[in-house]
Amino acid sequence: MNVVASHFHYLVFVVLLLTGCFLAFACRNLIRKVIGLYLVQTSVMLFYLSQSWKDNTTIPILEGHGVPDPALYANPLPHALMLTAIVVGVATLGVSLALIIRIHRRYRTLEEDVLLQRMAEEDAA
Amino acid sequence: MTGSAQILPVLIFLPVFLTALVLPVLGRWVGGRRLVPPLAVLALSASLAAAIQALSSVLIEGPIQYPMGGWSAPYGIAWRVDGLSAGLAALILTMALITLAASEARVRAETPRRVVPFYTLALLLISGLLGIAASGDLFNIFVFLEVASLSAYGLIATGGPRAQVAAFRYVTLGTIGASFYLLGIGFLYAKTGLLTISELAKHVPAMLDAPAIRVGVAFLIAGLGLKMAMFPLHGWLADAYSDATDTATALIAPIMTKTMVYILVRILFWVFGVEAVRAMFPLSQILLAAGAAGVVYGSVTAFRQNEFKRMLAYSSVSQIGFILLGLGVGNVQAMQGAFLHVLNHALMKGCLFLIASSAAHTHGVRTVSDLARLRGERPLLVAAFWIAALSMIGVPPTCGFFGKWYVLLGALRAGAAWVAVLIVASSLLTALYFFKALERTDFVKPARREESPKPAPAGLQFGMAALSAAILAAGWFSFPIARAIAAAMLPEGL
Repeated sequence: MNVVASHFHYLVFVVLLLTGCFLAFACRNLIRKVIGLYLVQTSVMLFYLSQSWKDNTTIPILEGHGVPDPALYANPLPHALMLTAIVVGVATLGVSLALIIRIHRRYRTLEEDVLLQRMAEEDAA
Repeated sequence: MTGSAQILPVLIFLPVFLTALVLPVLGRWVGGRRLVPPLAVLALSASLAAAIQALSSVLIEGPIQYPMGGWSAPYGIAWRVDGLSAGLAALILTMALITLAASEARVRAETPRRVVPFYTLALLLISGLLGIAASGDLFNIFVFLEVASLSAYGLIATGGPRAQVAAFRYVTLGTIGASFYLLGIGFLYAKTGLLTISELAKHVPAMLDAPAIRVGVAFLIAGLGLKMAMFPLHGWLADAYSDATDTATALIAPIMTKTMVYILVRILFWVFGVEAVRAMFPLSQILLAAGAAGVVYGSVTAFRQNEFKRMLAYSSVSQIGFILLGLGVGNVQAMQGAFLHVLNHALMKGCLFLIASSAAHTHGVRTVSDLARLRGERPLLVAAFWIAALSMIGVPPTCGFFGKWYVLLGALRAGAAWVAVLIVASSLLTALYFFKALERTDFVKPARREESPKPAPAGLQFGMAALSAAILAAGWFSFPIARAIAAAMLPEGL
């Protein structure tokens, strides 16, 4: 039980990662696939951020003068890296939603099985 | 290395990237719109000049480091160009230059209202791939990986409704791949606190037993495998390549998956090291198994395809498998063969997709049977097709033979005779589906003509001629190229 408590954030990360992968692969609705993608990216962000915490530290914002003692602050580097990852996630979200708009405009459906069926009918015609 | 050469890594990347940002602004005016294709070609030429300069500098004096912002490793983001990076950058730029210079007429024909966005996305894609080649930092590679991937998704989506569905599938799988890559380097970072490749190389080989490192490698291989269409993670490639516009495919196919293989090579053989790859079971075995399965699956499926571009797409799956086989065998000859094949396959596939583009433009060729429309009509195209097809099969003196030859030698030297047998068998399979296509295009005039063909675009004629000449030249100069690869581009410790 102690192991679970001390590794709680990793458990949450694993659950989010697997949920996201499941949604992206198993759902028929395209929007749900996109949500799954975003969950996968968020879980990776959680993984990085959970590495920045150290016990008995504060947020890494400098105040006052003098050279700071790194032992007093949480690690800011994963946060900086994940800012970039968030931007990448938003861009990917934008691209996928734009594609969904175009697909819906043309095939009038957001369900993958109906979509494939309509594409096959179009090929046969 | 100090001095003016130090800025070369950034000079390779900047012209293409800055022009990509300028093009949409320029496209606002009608006059500007006509300038966009030549400006794109100009930017690629400038970057290519920098890449060739970097390659010659690296071959003579060794790797070039550029600490971005003045922060040196391990605190800063390192840009580092060594033999392999410079070679890859030069290859990417050469293929992009030839393809975009040759395809202006085709781009205007296929996507008449989206010419400027097409060129913008194309330049962003190339700048992302160049950033991957010139970067010495794993997270920086991730950023450029996403820049290149998002541009590729957009480029593929310009091809119409079917292409948009294919692009959506590519987005789904590609984003999961990139997220797994990010997760993999997250595990490496968790264990070492480092992201710079040269710094990681000092610490990771000592930590091979740590579970975090092993999980990190697993996620890296899974993520990059999705991106490079390693079997069985190749599902997105056939639709994406065949449904996209001909020019988009001709641009993406020769270079995108190869750059993903480059990232895998960097991480496995530079961060982990050759010794570690051999020691970590089942790393080489995974590469060998996935490579072998890809070779067989790609060749067999290509034979069953009716659409011409789909056949070429599955052939690409097969060739990526072959490159992974070379990496899995892992001795000097096999690595020489794998890298040589990266160069050769880029030339061959680029030529083949330009051929597909030109044939579709003039005679509406979409399927292998349609190739019969070309009989007696397109001598240059058919000659280029013969050269490229013989090279894919692996007939000397075309270049395709030599990549396979080196990997075969390496496999025999390593005692893996089954790899040699597999290479020969896959060449025979390749011969089957290419001869099926070649049979349609021999020089006999057809009995009747259906519709009058459109005139052949001069740019594409030039592009096909240039790439066929390059295929023959790369074959003629194979041994010097292989020696240069062994001297400057292989990892230490082979």
